[in-house]
Amino acid sequence: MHSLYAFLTGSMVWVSVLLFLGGSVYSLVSRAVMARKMDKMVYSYFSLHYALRSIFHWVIPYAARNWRLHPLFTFVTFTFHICLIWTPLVLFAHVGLFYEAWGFSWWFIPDLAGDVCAGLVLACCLFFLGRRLFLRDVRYLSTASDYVMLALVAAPYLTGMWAHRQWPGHETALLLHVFSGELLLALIPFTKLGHMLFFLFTRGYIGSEFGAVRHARDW
Amino acid sequence: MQDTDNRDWELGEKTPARPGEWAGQFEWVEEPEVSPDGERLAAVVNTGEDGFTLCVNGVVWENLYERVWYPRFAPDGRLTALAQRDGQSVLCVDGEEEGEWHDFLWDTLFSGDGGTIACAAQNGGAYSVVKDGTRWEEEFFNLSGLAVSPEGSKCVAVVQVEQMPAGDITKFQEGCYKIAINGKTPGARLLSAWDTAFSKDGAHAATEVRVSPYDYTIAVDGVPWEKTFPGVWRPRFNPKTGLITAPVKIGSGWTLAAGGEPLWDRLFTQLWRHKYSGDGSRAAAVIALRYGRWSVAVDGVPWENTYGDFVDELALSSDGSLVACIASDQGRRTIVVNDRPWTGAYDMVWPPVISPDGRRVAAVVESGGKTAIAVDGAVLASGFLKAFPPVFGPGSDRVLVRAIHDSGGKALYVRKVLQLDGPR
Amino acid sequence: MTDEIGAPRGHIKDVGIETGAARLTPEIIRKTALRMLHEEAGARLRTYLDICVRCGLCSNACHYYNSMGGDPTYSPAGKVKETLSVIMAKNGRVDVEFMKKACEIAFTECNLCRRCAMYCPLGIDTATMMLFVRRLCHKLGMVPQYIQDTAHSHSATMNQMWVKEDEWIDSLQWQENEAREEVPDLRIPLEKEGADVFYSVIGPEPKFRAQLIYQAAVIFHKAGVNWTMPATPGWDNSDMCMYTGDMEMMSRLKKLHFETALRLRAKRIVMGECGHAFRSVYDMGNRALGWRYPPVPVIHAIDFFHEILTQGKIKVAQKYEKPVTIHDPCNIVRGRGLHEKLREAVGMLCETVIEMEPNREHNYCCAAGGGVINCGPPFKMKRVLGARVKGDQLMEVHKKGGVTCIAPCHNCHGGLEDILHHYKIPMDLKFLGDIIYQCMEK
Repeated sequence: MHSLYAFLTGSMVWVSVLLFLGGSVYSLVSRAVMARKMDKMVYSYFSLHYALRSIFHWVIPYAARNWRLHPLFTFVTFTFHICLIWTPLVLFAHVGLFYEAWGFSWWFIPDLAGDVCAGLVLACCLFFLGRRLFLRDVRYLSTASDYVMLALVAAPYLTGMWAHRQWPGHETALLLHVFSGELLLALIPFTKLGHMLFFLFTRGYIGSEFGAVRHARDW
Repeated sequence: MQDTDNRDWELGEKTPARPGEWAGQFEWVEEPEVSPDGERLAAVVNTGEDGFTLCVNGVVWENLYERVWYPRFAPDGRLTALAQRDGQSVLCVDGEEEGEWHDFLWDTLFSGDGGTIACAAQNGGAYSVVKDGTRWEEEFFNLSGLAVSPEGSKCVAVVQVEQMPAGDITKFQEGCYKIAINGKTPGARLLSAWDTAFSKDGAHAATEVRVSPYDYTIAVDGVPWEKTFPGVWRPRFNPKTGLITAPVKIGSGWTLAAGGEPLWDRLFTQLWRHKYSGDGSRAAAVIALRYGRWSVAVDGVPWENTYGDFVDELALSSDGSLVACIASDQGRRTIVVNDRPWTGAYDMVWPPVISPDGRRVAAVVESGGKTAIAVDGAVLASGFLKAFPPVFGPGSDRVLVRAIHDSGGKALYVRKVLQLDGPR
Repeated sequence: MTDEIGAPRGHIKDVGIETGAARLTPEIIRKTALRMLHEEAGARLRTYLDICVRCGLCSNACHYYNSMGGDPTYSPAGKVKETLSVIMAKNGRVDVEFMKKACEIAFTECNLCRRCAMYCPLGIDTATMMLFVRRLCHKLGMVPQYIQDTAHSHSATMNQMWVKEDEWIDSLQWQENEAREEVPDLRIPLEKEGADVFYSVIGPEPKFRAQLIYQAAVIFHKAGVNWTMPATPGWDNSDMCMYTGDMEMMSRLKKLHFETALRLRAKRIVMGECGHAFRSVYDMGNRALGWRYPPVPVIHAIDFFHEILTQGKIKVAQKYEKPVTIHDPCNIVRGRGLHEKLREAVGMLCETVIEMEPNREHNYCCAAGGGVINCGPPFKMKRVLGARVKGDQLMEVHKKGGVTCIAPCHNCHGGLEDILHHYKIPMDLKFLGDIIYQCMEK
């Protein structure tokens, strides 16, 4: 088990980071090249000003009309995304690992706060699962992969909490935590999680079209 | 080609017409037209209760009509107009009614020397062409895209040869249109057809056609090329070799093709309105070098400068050494000659006119509501209410200016022959 | 747990779809789809499909979804799921029945109104994907009959309504004669070179609504506009080929339209009160030809009317007294942001304005746009039912005392007329030009 842990926290970290970075660069660059060939107008109309104007209105809770039309969802989705991204980056346990390995650290949150954040992520995942199960349109739209994605996203947070809380089987949970976290990171560029990478570009492009060409708002 | 030699090329100014004074005589005066030699100015006038006629240098035509429209001078100087009375149309030439009355006449066209005059005609819902007063024997369900050959022997039009029940999409796709040449329709059935070009001698006509919902090509004398493309634009004949060329779409780009095969070795984002020099040695086309940037390619080689709005109205000197066009960038238009834009930019620019020696370019330009004649980028004569296209003298050293200016609050038509400075 | 989802599709028999389908085999579909996916499915389309997380936030952006009792197959992402997602996932291995259904969805259940693009947090443009499906249908020869017939008219006559060259000129001269009864010195100047304004209209104006040309002529005349109309093809700015997916013909139509304005040396193109034509001229047609923006500035009638009203070139003799509401046409609101100018113009002309909610960029489409009304009578009832939320909006306005709905778009007029009739809403419809003509000093 120790050697597996060492493998997961050693080589596999690099593999997952490389897959994430390499996959992300590949995804973005290959699409950019394809757009250069087949969607020339994307470059022609992309406007940094209007792209940022659009993105700005969509990354602020309730700034866009559709956010206001879904107040609970908006609260949940912003909570989810904030906790999802920031918790692993500023968690004491993670920062500590960096310090051990590389000798440097940064601002962190105490583990208890980390548990709260992980709990929030899980609660949000449950909310999203509920939407997929009980909202007629979302249930219809959902495919098996959407449920798998949801489970993949929840897994590192559930196992992380499990391990930290020392619940029964926490040693296995720790292994699963590391593995699922790495899997999640590695899969981002190759799955629908890629919306994390492309959001800035798709939102930015439609914002450019609406703003620079059509002189209209898009939020 | 206009015969510029018989004109009065004496330096100086004449005032053949005072359109400002006509305004007081009539209910209204419409847009004036000028004769090729600049000696006559004509406009449709409303005489009041009695109807419409044409006023030429202050003298009105004898006949009055319920409507007179589309006044046009033929290249030989004859003045034509379409007149209507009691729901019927007639072509008037120099004040005389030519040929029969028809239910409707439109689209007056001339051969190169003006010797032939043709109109599209409709009678009782049947469509035909009237050439020099004589109607085609054949009639069709519809007619469009009329063209007259340069020497006047042929009239070509796109005609509908079979009636289509409303909404019959299958029938349309089987082809209900053909190319009519002097009324005869020897070629293939087509889904649609548009612009026609003639060979220099008028012996052949080439038309851009649609042969299936997805296939476009060029029909020569009504017969389509075997090779088709996802898009074609108006063809042209090389005046020397007779080779028919057309812009065609290949993949995602455009190039110039001859007989169905690419003639130029590269693709452009867009390519159209190509033209040949008089001697057929060079071809130039308007191109989009990349998305949103327009330019000109000469024999397939693009100019360096590009323009954002458009490039239009290509003109080539007879030996092909000079290529000129209108170009517009950010709403300002100018003339470009051999890839060098004139320094001035204008609100409006009319097509460039090249001198017979192929060394000078003139154009009507407009700024701030006033028009001027510019030659080689410098203003030659300015301050006009309206200016007609300039004409170079046979020696290329004189320019005929035909323009209307404000003379004490009244419009005055002036005809000037101006001397140009020495050779460029 | 199951519930009924998926409206019955395929029970509406359309000649264009049926005859097209009869010629198809799965092999033809696969070959055609593969070629299109290879040649035309670019980065935008693929990215949209890749990143849609199926959150359902687009659902309530769509008037069909909202009108059809929340049937999820009408949600924008649902329509993609029913069509393009499958075609992409199966690399074109779909059968004829599937394509018939996809054709019906893409042509008659999406108005390409782009409202969902501004309700999707990721900015996914479903209209682009539906247009892709329509183009595939065009390539397969399976397009609803009525809109296909219109596209054929464009091809043969370069206008939408089979108007022949002489009929066009005759219509203008007839309207000029009519208008001279009222304004004796009025002209509709044909083929006038160097005018400030090239006025272009859509095919139905000379064919069915010639009084609009009359009214425009009176407005231009009184405003002292230096304007012209062509006596040649190129006068029609409309474009159903854009909506059938026949981009080659769309290009040809726009080329002729712009070339005609350039030939007449007009400084601006002012176009009549039409939405889809504006989209074609301002947004899609120019792009297909390589023009980043139209080569000649294109001004929608609303923009132009606003200009001459605010410049005082038109004086209002008496304001329109009946309370009005404003219908925002998608293609000039989400397509050009003219909603405020429209309101300013209406404010100058009308005593009372009662707004529909939501409005401006958030308006609901009339369900006629995007070529849906042009798919004709077979799909009329589906269209009207798909516009129930628009009917609700109008009914609300009616209850508040609204009498007139101003809709500055031809297809909106057609759609709203059917909505008012079906939902028994006693309101009348006007173009902004109707109101100006009625209220101006003549």
